Amino acid sequence: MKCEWVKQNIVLHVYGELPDDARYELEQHVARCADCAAELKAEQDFHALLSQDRVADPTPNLLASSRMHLQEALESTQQGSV
Amino acid sequence: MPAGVWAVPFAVGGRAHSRESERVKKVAENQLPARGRMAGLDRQAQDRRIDDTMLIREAQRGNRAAFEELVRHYDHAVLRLALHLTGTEQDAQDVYQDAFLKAYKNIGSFRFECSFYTWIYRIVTNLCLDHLRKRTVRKEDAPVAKDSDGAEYDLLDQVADGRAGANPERDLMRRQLGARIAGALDRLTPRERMVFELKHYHGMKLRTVGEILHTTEETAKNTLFRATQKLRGALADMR
Repeated sequence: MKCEWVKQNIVLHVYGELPDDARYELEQHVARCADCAAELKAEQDFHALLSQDRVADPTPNLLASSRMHLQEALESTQQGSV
Repeated sequence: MPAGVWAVPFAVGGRAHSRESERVKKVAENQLPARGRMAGLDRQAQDRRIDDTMLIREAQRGNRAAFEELVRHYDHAVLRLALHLTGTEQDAQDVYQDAFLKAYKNIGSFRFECSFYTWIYRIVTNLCLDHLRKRTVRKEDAPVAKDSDGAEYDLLDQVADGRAGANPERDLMRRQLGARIAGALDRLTPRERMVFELKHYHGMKLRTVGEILHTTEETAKNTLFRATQKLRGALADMR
């Protein structure tokens, strides 16, 4: 049961989303359970792999052109009109 | 309207210009999912909320310059999200335009029951979900190309990147990794994709993701778990 709970929560742990008490519980368990320790390592490795792929920033041209088109559209748009 | 209207600082104390550059920096920091950067954001979010409140009230009185200033607080982040989710500049620009026009038309009904951040992201994520659902239907049209080795890669990955060029071998590997990840992301349901996108790539808290997607934090957690399991399965050979 404990292992199942840990496996469900490892992803939250990796993303820093576990409350302190749950994180403590998970870390305590992982220190004693080789299976769960391996699962944690696998999730961390996977997270590191994904983190090599970064989201590209929109180019300044794209942002400027988006703003310009919006500005033009706003000029002919009334609030409250749907 | 004169072309330079975007540069006109809205009169909220005459500090609009310097505040704008600070804000750009804040937005840039917010976009990296590194956990260390999350510290201190609460205060920044609070400062921004006060700013937003004034701008929203002005916009609700019909002040378009105030609305345009409000747009600038969020539009870089919105465009970045739309670009990554839709995969093309044209689609990202359409989402951007539709989202802010919808916000403008409906700003009068904004009742401060949630932050403007949550409100605008609700609009944007709904538009992106519609786009993802349509794309699921016509997946055969996915923008895929082949590199010189015949390996398929996604054209989305060709979005301009300042880091490219310094090391061609590393760039190629990064492109191939990006293409594999994009392919795996494409196989998630639109909802899983959205939760994963907001959490992993945009560093949002799951509580916020839940608010934006009109669901509970618990459901967002479960969806993130499912998405991660699927991605691990799809990319198992890359480890």
